[in-house]
Amino acid sequence: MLLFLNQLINGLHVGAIYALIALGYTMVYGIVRLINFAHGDILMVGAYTAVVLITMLHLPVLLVIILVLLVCVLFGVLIERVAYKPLRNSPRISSLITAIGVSMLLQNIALLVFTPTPKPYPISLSLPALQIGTLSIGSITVLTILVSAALMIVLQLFVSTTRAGKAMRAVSEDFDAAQLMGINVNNTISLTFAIGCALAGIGSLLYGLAYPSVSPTLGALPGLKAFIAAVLGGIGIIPGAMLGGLIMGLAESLTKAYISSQLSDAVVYGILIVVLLFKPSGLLGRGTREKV
Amino acid sequence: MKKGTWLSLVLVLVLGIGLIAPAAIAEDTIKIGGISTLSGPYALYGQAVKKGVDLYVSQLNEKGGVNGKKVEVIWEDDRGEANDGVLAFEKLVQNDGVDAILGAVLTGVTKAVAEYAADLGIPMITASSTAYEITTDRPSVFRTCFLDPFQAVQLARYTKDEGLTKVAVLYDNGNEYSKGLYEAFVSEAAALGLEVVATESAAYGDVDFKTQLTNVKNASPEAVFLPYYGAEAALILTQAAEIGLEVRFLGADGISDIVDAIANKALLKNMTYSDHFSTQADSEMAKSFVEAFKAAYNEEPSVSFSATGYDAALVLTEAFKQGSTEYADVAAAIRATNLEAVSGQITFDDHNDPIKSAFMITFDEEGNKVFLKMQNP
Repeated sequence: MLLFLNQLINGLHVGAIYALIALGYTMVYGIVRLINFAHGDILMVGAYTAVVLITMLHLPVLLVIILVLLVCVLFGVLIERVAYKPLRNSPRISSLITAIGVSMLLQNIALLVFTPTPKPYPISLSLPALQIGTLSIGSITVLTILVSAALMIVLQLFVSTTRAGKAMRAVSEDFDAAQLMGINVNNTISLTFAIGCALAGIGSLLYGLAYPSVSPTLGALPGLKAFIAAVLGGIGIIPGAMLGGLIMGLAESLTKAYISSQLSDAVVYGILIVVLLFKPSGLLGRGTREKV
Repeated sequence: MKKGTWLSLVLVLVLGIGLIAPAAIAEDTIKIGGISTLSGPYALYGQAVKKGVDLYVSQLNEKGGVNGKKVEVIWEDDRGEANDGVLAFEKLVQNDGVDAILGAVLTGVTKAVAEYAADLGIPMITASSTAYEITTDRPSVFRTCFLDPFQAVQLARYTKDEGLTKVAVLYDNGNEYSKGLYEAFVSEAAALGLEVVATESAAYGDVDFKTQLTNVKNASPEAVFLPYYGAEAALILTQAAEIGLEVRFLGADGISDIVDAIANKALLKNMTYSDHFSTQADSEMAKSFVEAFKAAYNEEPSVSFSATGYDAALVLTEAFKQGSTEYADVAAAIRATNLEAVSGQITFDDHNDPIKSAFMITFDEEGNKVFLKMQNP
């Protein structure tokens, strides 16, 4: 029983990381209808920023955390302005290909600058584990789950109650009509990318704590998994990203623990296929769905 | 048309000179073709081998070379690719007319090159390729590093010597190196009467090991064997601490670069691994090697393949001291080697593998390597 609970917690930890990255995917897709494949690589940018700031410039950790978020936001907004904005009115396949291109560009720049040799992530957390009876939960796990859940709630409140959130929903429903109503579409989209990439920045911190090895392709796999999580939960829907992430994390962990570590991806993709067969818009998707 | 004819004439001339030239000047030097991974992700290992070889050859030439002949090493970069390794081999043998091959570094490249070397019968010695079949049925191919099964056996014996009886293994199912070590370790552990309480595997490229480690923890072993490279082992040690798995960890030579891959160096103090060499080894030869290496390159020979590279150059040039550069004579001389080398006494068995010792190494709180003892075969 204790073993099962421990495995559940392992799954929740992985799932919370997927969920956090999936939130960024879902935000951007909900507003611009663009699958931002470079999202996972923003994670990598954040991780290398921490490596450079701490191991080379020796800045204090708190300042580094703020700078990591700023750099991620900067990259996100810049990528949107340079690569996606000029293609806003072209066929969707063009922006999709561009997104893949941006992802490769970021990975190869990192390869050139930092070499493929993995570097250790310089921030570590050494707090005692949380004890509940005989169950002990590591501090990084607790932190990751709490931060992800809190961010999802804050994001949901932001989108549904604030003026900026209202503007986002309007842009998502109808681009041109929103413009006619006096909403600054460009700023709204930039804000969306900024928030999405800030989430990726926080994701890079939590990911780095859990898996402290930084390489140029660091973002590729979690990016892909988070994308699947977003689709599974219903892309464009904030609680859906959280749900999708957690389901994936749990499925992976329990498959590894009780069936086979080689089958974990097969089970996860299997779940995705089954869900999409019966509910093409994802678990929380509706026929006429409310986007972000 | 006319231009084309001229061009081919020039080409014929140039190539012709190229073909004649090496044979004409090859008399007073012994040429060794060095094939190594000098660029790309595995350049660390290739550069280490090259530094060791270059150091020995320059020392030898200062002392007068081999029977008065200078030794020259011509290096070619294989970029870690089997294709490039074979091209380098063809170039070295046909254009440069080398007398022996030293290399390659990565197992995949060495396998490909060894095939060609065996066909020609040219003597070849690798300093770092640990897969068993590289020297199988290839009488002219040798190595100065020990093999994967050998170190797994030594690790199992070390575990028993330490009084540990319950062991677990976590290995990478998609990596030959990891699987080979796991199989050899488990069979030797069974033969020694150790209890293997948990066997877990991960897929190639996995970064999350907490699930497997939780299962391992549940089986409460006294030691966990991790046949991984440094970067993955760093992830595993970090996650083991996160789930509260506090036992001894064992690793093979892949662990040697873990220090640069882990942020929290204190986690390393529970890790012991087997290596081809230690900079703290106490033989006279090892001490003078470390000193000379520091003087030449201004750094410690921290990658142990510098030592096996040095030994490879030593074994090869000693064989040339017999006086002949005929392929078969040199190969026979290598097989008869009985030398004190930097990484221990070297003799070769029927399979052209060195019979030598493993260096057991652990770490202190700051992540510095600490030499424990030699594990003898």
